[in-house]
Amino acid sequence: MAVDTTKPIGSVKLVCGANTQEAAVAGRTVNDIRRDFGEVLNIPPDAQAIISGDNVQGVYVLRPGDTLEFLKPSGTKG
Amino acid sequence: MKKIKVVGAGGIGSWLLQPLALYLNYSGGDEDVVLTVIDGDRYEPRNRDRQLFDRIGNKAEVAAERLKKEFPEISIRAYGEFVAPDSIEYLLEDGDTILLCVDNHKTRKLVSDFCRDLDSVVLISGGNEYTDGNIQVYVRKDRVDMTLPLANRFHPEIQRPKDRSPHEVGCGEQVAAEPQIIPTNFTIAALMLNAFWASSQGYLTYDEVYACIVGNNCRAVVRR
Repeated sequence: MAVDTTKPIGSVKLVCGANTQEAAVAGRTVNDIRRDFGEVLNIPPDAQAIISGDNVQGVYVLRPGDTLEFLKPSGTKG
Repeated sequence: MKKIKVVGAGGIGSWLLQPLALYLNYSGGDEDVVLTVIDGDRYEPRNRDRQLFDRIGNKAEVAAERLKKEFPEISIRAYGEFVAPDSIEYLLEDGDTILLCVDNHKTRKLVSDFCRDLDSVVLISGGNEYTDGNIQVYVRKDRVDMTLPLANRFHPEIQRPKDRSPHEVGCGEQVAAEPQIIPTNFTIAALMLNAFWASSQGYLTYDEVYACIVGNNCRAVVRR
């Protein structure tokens, strides 16, 4: 099986709104990511976290290959 | 006949209307085009910093009047009222392409729920905060949802809106306006125009697109 050498080992895709980032954070929890990446990804404090479309709790431990998205509410104004 | 309705002619809508009308006017085709602008609000001097208009007055009427002079090949109409529960049935109808540029989630839910009962409709909704925002695209064809409605489980703020629509705000009651800037309004208007074009060509593949003007990045999302 071919190995993707472009991603760090334990890589997880982190997403919020338009912002995305690959990071070697497998083994850490959703709460860790919310705290450590909150500013760089502009994560709203109460944003629901999902993986593959399903809600996950803050204690969920990330696995390599996960895509963790913090749901950004739709823009209000127009 | 193509029926295109732009709901809201303010921060996003006023920037969307000009290129949309230009595209419709010169894109050719044998089909007649009717572009309808719907808004119950008024352009005021305080809107000059980020909205496109040439005189004070009802937004729909002022915008339609200006576009009619520039784009004679298309029929342009104006309804100077808000989309509300008691007006939605005569303002919007089956077969419409609706570009929703409103400033509250209550109206987004109202329009999304109404469209779910239609046979076929394209609903493109845009909204923004100070430096970011998104568009959502709901395509329903022959009573089958091709993409997600606006009020879906990924957007509880629209499923259960906590704000009020303009028709619920009483006369003389001033709603504090949050600051906005042209680049964000303009970016969301551009994304809506892209989605309009893609849907009209049969290329649309996503449910929504997020944008952030700080990083100058966009991300299209498929939720199904």
